[in-house]
Amino acid sequence: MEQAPPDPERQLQPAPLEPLGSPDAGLGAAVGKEAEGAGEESSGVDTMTHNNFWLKKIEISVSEAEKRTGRNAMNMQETYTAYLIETRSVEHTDGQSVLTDSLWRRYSEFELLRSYLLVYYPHIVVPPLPEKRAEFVWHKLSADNMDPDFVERRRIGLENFLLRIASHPILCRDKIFYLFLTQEGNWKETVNETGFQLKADSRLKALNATFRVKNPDKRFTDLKHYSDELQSVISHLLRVRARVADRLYGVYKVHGNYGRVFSEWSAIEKEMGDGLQSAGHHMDVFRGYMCRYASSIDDILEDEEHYADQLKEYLFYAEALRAVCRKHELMQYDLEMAAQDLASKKQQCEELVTGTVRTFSLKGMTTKLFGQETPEQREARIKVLEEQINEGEQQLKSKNLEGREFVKNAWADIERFKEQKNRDLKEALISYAVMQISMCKKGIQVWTNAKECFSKM
Amino acid sequence: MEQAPPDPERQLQPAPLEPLGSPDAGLGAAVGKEAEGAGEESSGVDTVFVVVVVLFTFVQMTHNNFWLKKIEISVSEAEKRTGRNAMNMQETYTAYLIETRSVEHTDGQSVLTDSLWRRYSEFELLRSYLLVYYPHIVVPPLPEKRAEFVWHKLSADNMDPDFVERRRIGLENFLLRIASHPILCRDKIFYLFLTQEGNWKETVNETGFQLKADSRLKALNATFRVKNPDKRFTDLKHYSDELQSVISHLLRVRARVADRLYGVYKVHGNYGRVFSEWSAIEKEMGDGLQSAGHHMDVYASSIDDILEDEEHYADQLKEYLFYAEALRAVCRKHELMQYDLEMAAQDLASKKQQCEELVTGTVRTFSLKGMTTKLFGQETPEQREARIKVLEEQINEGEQQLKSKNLEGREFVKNAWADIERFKEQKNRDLKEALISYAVMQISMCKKGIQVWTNAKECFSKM
Repeated sequence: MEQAPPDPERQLQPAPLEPLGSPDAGLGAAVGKEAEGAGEESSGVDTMTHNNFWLKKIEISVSEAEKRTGRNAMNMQETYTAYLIETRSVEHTDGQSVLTDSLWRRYSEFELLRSYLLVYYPHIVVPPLPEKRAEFVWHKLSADNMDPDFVERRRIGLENFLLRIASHPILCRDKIFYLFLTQEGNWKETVNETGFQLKADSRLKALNATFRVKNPDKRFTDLKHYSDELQSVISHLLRVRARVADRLYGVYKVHGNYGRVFSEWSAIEKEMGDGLQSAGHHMDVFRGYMCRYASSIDDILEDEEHYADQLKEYLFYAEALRAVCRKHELMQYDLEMAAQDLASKKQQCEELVTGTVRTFSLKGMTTKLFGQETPEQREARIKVLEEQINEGEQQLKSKNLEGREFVKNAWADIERFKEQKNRDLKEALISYAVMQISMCKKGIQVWTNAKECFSKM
Repeated sequence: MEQAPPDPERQLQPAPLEPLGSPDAGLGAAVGKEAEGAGEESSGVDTVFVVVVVLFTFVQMTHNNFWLKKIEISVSEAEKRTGRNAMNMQETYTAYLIETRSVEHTDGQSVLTDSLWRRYSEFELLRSYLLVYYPHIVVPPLPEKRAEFVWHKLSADNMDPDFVERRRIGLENFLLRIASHPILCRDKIFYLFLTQEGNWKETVNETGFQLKADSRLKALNATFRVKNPDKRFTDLKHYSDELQSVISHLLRVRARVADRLYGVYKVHGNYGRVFSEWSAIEKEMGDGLQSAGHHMDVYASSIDDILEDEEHYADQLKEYLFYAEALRAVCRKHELMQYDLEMAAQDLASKKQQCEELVTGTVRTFSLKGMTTKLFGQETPEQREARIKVLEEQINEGEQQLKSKNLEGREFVKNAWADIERFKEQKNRDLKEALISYAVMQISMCKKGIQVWTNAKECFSKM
């Protein structure tokens, strides 16, 4: 299992000069910064086509979603949604963008891509996918996967996922990722041929390591706690947000009732005639305002979903953080086991050499039962053990090295991730505040108009 | 039952020059206008009742001085009291302090002239009295006895301080409405209500107004059987029913909006808690999140004051809900008088018919006398003459009564309609003002929201 810095076979060379996401401001700025970092990592091996691809700016977008029916592995008919991924390269000189690749992918292929990245980049906090099923819904939204609003939000989430990868200095150079964007047919087979599933750590093994590891790096232990707490806080935040949305919806809709009452009222004032007719007219105008106000909440809450989606991404990022921590624990445990095994072998060897038997061994038992072994036999055994010890020391040395490399690289990516998180969450919160302010301003407008209306009665 | 223009015995003379309510702008303006109207009506009354004025000179000296100055009426305090009721059982009730101030023209200083305590039942007594003696006036309503249209936060308990406070304001409003009414403000019982603490109840009861009140049964009967009521009153009755329905509806919507708005604001308090939790686990963003959380808490607690203020708007609407009933009372009075008139006319026509029959000797209508004549024999000419004479007297009396009832009826309609026009203008003004206040309140709420979220945005930007 390779734990070294990015495997050149997986990477495209040289490093992309300017991988660029969609014209999304925040992400674009983030991308720009990371691209600069990427430029420094370039090295020798290269393929001409890949060079040209990455030398230009690229824009990736998941532009459409389409319902399809097909037959699945069990030859049963199923309905699924396919997403159109378009890649454009942007000429430096004139800023024009040219469509270079365009293909359809379904959600399961995105999942496959991510599973692959998780195996080959265990030290990277791999961007999460948008949720498979709608959660934290408030009453208005359907929890149906086929619901157009959900599909639309998933489309945006998948685009975001690809942009996150494209803007990551290491992940963006992965060949399988490149093929995901460019090779429609046969991609699944290509991924499976890497044999990544075999290389994946079993969950049981990881769980075991988590419980038995003796000396994990304290920073990872703290990080694990932090990601648990972050997940908890964000879940809590999303629940509160759903409740606010729900009640806000109620308030706005009830204002529609005001409209109806005023409509009734204007009718009876008009009946009374004489000068009160104008009152009736103004009441009708007021009713119009109230109805528009009441229906404005739908758009407001549409927009607000995006803010919720930004928070959700970080909810899922917490799991990605924990995955890196688990990998460290596994490696550390592996190291500890190897060291323990080596120490035990050394002990055995020493006992054989000195003749003292302090540790229990089967050989010792058989010696007692069947008689001492011959000096030749003992020499042979010592030789075998010494070879094993040598091998073990080599392995331990390299595991140690790998472990330290892993920690170094992982921590570098975690620092990068922390900055990204702070930036993104700060932006999300500011957006939420801006949205609230905008709502209040609209409210002022509506009620100022209403006041005008009443003044004229 | 007097139906004539305001009874001089009930009225204070001369008409007050400037009855002035509390410094409440809207109502004050309204009062000013109506006082001017009052001024125009007084001269005619003065000349007719000049003799009566002389008789009441001594009593009036104090009253004159009272009314010549501006007066301010306020219900300034409410106090819980315990006492023994009519059945000698202990009870708790609230007493309200009514203060009357006269304001010197020259320096605008106000001097406390009267101050006494009244309980809700005495207000009710005052109103019942006014309803009997001024049936052509749309008498201002009292604030509700029990809290209705509450949304969840308000207690429906009569002893609740918020409810008592709002009732205090309502009672003050009631007195100001009367004081600013060109006719009602001159009522002696009203004057005594403000000035004579002890014995007032006895004084009111001594007027014997309860005896003069129309029974509800009689009024109901008239409503169903009247043949030709003035169409304007019929329309007015429909209007007041519909107005009551619309305002009830409006109040229900308002309660629902208040309830949900309360929910939205309070849930923002949860945001405060979450930000606080979050600030504990973040290093760089900690401070920003903490202060943002604080702003959320401020936002959440701001709703209490907002909804306090909004209650006033609701109370203004409720007053008109109750005014609808006062309108209907005037309509019922008209129907009663009209029915009375129709019955008297019918009775007169029947007597005339009887008389004619006796004179001509033809029997077209059924009468007991006719029956007994058939059974026991014709009556003597003397008997018949006597009966004709009696009938002719009755007919004369009846014609006089009918003429005066007719006059009373027309006077009533004229005076009632004048007051109704006055009421309509008042209603339009007040409701327009209430709606504008509601819009202003909503705008103010939005502005506060902008402030809170701008502060929060600042906090986030600094993270």
